[in-house]
Amino acid sequence: MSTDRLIRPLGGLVMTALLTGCYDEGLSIFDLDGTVVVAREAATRTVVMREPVLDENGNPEINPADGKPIFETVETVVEDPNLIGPVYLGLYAETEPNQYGYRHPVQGPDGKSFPYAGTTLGDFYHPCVQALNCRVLSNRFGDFDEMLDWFDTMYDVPMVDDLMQDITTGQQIRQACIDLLFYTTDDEIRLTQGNQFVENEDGDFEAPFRIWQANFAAGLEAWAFMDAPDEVFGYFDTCWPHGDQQSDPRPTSLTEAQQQGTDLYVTPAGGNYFENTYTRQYSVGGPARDVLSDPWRYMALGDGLNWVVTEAPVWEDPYETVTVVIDDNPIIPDDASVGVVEEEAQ
Amino acid sequence: MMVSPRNLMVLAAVGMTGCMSFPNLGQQPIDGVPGVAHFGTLTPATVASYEDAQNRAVFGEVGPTGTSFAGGFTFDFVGTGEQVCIWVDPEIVTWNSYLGAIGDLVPAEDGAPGSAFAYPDNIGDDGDIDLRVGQSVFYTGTVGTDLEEASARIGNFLVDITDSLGNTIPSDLDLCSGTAALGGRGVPELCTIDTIEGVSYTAAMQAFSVPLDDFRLSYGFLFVEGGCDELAALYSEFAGNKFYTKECVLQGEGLIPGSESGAAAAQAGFPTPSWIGGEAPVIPGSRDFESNFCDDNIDLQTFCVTEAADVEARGLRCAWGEPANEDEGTTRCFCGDPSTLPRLAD
Repeated sequence: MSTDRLIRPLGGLVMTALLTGCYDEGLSIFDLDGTVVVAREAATRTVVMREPVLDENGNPEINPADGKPIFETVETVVEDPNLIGPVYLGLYAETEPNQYGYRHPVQGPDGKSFPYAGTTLGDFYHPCVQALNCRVLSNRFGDFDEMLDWFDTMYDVPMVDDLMQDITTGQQIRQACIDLLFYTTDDEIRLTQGNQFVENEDGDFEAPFRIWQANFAAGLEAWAFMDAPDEVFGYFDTCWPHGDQQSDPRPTSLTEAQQQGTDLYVTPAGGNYFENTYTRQYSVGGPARDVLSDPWRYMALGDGLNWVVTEAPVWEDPYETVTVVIDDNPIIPDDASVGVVEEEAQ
Repeated sequence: MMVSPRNLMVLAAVGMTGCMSFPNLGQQPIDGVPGVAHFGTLTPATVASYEDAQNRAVFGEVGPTGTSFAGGFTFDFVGTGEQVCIWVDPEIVTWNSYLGAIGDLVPAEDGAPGSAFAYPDNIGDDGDIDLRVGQSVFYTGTVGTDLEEASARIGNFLVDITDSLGNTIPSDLDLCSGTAALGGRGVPELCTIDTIEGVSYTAAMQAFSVPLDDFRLSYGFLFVEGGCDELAALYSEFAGNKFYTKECVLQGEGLIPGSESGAAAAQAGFPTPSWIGGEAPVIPGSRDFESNFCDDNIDLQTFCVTEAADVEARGLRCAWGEPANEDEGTTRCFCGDPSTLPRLAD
């Protein structure tokens, strides 16, 4: 056998070995998998509605003094994973248990927290109608009818389309998506995948996550918080309701914030959706762009409670999975002025 | 001449070492014009009116450094715990020519002008300055005036920090990053800084580009107590609360090249050449030009049409992109060459 006839197959084997991944490039980039658990308390809310008082025949009782229907306040406790807002999950070199009275990533000299990687569970996409601006997430509702029922149940505000006509069926929302976005399937609209959070045996809700192409270092702490919808309309603080073309009264700098008596301010969206089609001219909101770099700015905003982890698990091995638990640890806004700002924003 | 492969390899090796300096790269320095200037430690001025602000404005010139490093100017200040505003305005103004519907470009029958920016800009007489401010301890440059200290160099506030995992993260500690200290050619940049008492700060204004006609970039800057909003409000009050752009707030930064330093600036120990307030040698017509540009109530095209007619009446032509010399039949024009626009409708 000649030398050539021996070397050629060997060379081929070496090349095959290299191409099949035996070669360690020394990269620290990994897809990281884990589970987020959200305490049941974070998905529980007392809903207060004004309902007409009904007589024994099921008709509204009329006040004889003014001839108008009599209303009563009805409180209902709702436990539903659709109350789980966007969960922001980041990997940080270190977190502090009491940075702001709750666990928060350690900040650098410029106030930034320098996440190594991160992801969200639930995203803001184009909601198709203005009435859903900053109120609806991906991976929560199974279909548009469920979405409509949810908002009718939770909020005492009628759902209307962009022409201020009542929305009575989910199909109207779907049709708005098709008309505006030129989509042909619900998959493209990305709002009706079903709720990614399922109830576990403890009665809490959990969902798997994957952080794609994470810059991994052994010892990173996995930290997360949940932005809960506000109680009146269901807005999320980590959504930027108005883009560049419509002003938002919320302060956008520390200077502006201090002028309004608070230290909290927000940063405009990185990818705001703006609708400017025929008679539709409005901003439909978009995700704030610095939530994982400056989470504290968003965590204490709003009149709804936001929820954060008590412990941040340390990730030593990228091939292992971790479980991040957002337990019964609500962040209660302690600055009354924040609520005032939010009220103006609405 | 043949270049031998050996010589080519030597050249390549030298080029690849990466440690060569290129002292003659770019435009040569101009005699008497610093590439890098330092104004020392300044105290913010207290201004109560727009006239006050104009009188406290500092003007100067920078030119090419003659090296591969960009030039600019710096000053230091000590924080008082209060806000200060830095407002810098590079020579002179820039706009994009209007290229909309042709009908808008044609003056109406009654002589009313078309679009405000129908006339092109003289792109040869504008420069750009980028404003950065941070704590002096983080400044990476070398303060000084390069006419006196060859090592003087404009820097930034980009520093590496090491997190608790031992990894290095580049962090931009420029306090003006992401604020109104962003602007293109000829556009003022401004920044309000919330100072910490007793902490030293450095303001670094990098000459991103110098005018192509003479490579001398004149500028004006204001360093005042309070926020930049308050400074702008002084102009607004002065102008009768009409619409204007930030170009209005500091006017007269277009300076006659080669002028002697002002007496007040020399007494203050400022680098040569520089001027304070009314002693600045403003190019004739420059203020009028800026006023027309920045005032939304005045049409810039009227100024440009008038300028072109005046130049023609004097038997001269505009010196776009080169120094004007009336002996050679050229004069300085603030507006650009209309023949560079698309042809108007017949």
